[in-house]
Amino acid sequence: MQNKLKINISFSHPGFSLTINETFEPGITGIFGPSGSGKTTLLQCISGFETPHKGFIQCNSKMLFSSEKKENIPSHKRRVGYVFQEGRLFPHLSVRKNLLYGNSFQKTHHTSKQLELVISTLNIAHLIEKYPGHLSGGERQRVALGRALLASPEILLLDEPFSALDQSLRQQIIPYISKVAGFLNIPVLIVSHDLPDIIKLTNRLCLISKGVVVAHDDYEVLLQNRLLFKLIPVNNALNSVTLKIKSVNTDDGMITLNGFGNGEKVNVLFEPQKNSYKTGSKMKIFLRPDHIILAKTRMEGTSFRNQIKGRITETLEEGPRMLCLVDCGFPLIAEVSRAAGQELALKKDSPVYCLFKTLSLDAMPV
Amino acid sequence: MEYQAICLSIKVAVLTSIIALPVAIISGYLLARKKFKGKAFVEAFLHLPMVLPPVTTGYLLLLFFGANGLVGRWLFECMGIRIAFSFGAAVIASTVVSFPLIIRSVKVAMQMVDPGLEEASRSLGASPVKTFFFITLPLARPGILGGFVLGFARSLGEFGATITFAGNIAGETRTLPLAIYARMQVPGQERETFLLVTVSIIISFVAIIGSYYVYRRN
Repeated sequence: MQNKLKINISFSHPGFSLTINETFEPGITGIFGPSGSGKTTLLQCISGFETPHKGFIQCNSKMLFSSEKKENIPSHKRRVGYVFQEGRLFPHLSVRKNLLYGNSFQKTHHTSKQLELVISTLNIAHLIEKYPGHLSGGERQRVALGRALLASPEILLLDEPFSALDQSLRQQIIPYISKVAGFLNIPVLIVSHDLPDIIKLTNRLCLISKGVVVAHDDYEVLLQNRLLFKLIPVNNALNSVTLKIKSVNTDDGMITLNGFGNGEKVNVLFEPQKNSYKTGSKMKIFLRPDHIILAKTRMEGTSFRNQIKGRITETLEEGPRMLCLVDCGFPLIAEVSRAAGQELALKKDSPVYCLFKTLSLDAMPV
Repeated sequence: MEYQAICLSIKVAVLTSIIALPVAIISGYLLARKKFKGKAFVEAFLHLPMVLPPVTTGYLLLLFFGANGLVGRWLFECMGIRIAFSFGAAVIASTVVSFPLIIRSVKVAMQMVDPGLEEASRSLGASPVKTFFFITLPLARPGILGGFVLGFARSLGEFGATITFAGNIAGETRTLPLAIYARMQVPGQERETFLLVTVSIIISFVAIIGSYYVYRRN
């Protein structure tokens, strides 16, 4: 059965209101929006820590809240897993006891096999007898994630799970979240104000601004929409494209990916010793907009391994920067200085080449 | 040597701490976590014995529980229980005077527990009661133990309210401070007085060292 989460609520506090009418499918949805837009309040309403003034929250056929039916299931009976920004591990309990805490309140207890699975998936076996005070930020978040999972949630909420972590720790935890979401068939909502972090986890985005949902769709689709293109913070965007592997060259450590029917190819570097890539399988690549160079013509005699032809579909100027949305068979956001954009006369429908180094690409198998 | 007074003092102090602690834990939690109308008034009322002269507290207790008092008369007429000037009165006087110290310590300890951890516990399926017993209480334990020792020590030193409400009856309400006071009134008892003072210092010292040890273990 599909665990859909249906939300139709309005919530208000002096100087703040939140109105949501959305359905969240199983899998990861990134809740993205500026600070104070209502992202955390939405999670708190779902978990039962806040009570909406009107509406309903329903997971599957289970009504968690309904103002009409005067129903408000208390948070401990909702089975909503919540991973908090700071982990919130219980400091007086060992990692093992933290992990098993929620399980002791469930009617059906986990087998040691399930515990082992979570421990191995999150790579926390070596931490099991330690206390939270002795864990690093990334370890704490992994344990918090495991603890939420072992309480058998029907919905999983992650509130800014990366904000307390530095960049390298973020890169460590993202694959774990991805892996976990892969074997759960429940809605997973991740709140973040950092778009690149979300994009690395999911394509599905729900954009909230000033307490209302302005869009809820796949990232590629959202990019086509001029209004939404404008919502993306200029210095906080990331390109995310899923392409098929055309060939794998282990000698050069290079993978060639097929574009979308326009004959263009994208070359990606990989570590041959970690070679688990197969021709025909899919790969997701990430590329920062400011790592793309726009050129009017193909350039010879350069070290760029990727020169992809496209057409500008949208431009957006903000201060000294200019964002161009380029259709290369797949959408790419490129960032150039406004001066450069004016010099090249970049505007809608201009044909351009997107140049980027293989080293600028971050890739992962899908 | 007044062994009776020493035993009585310890008995009163232990009973005081045991009676006051659960009440202090519940009220400390409510004061730390809940918002309700008249909270400031309730808090001021509970802390009143801490600042009132102990004699005043004893007098008020007498007005309340005395033979002609509001509750005292009813207790005597309905159940034949006489409270004032009994061992029970010594425990009540000691409890009322020590209670603010215990509740203060417990409340601060509860406030120090991050409410976010309680939220996390509820999100994992623990009811508010289970959350209280598994998260709040263990995390507030050092403060609660501190309150217990503070209440115990205050009870050992209690004089004013006890002598007013419970009297100075040897073997029944004459605790260590009262025994010291009684000895001081009699000329030529300086040695005995000093011995009792020494015992009083030793008991208090052991209580504090004990609490420090328990605190460190926690």
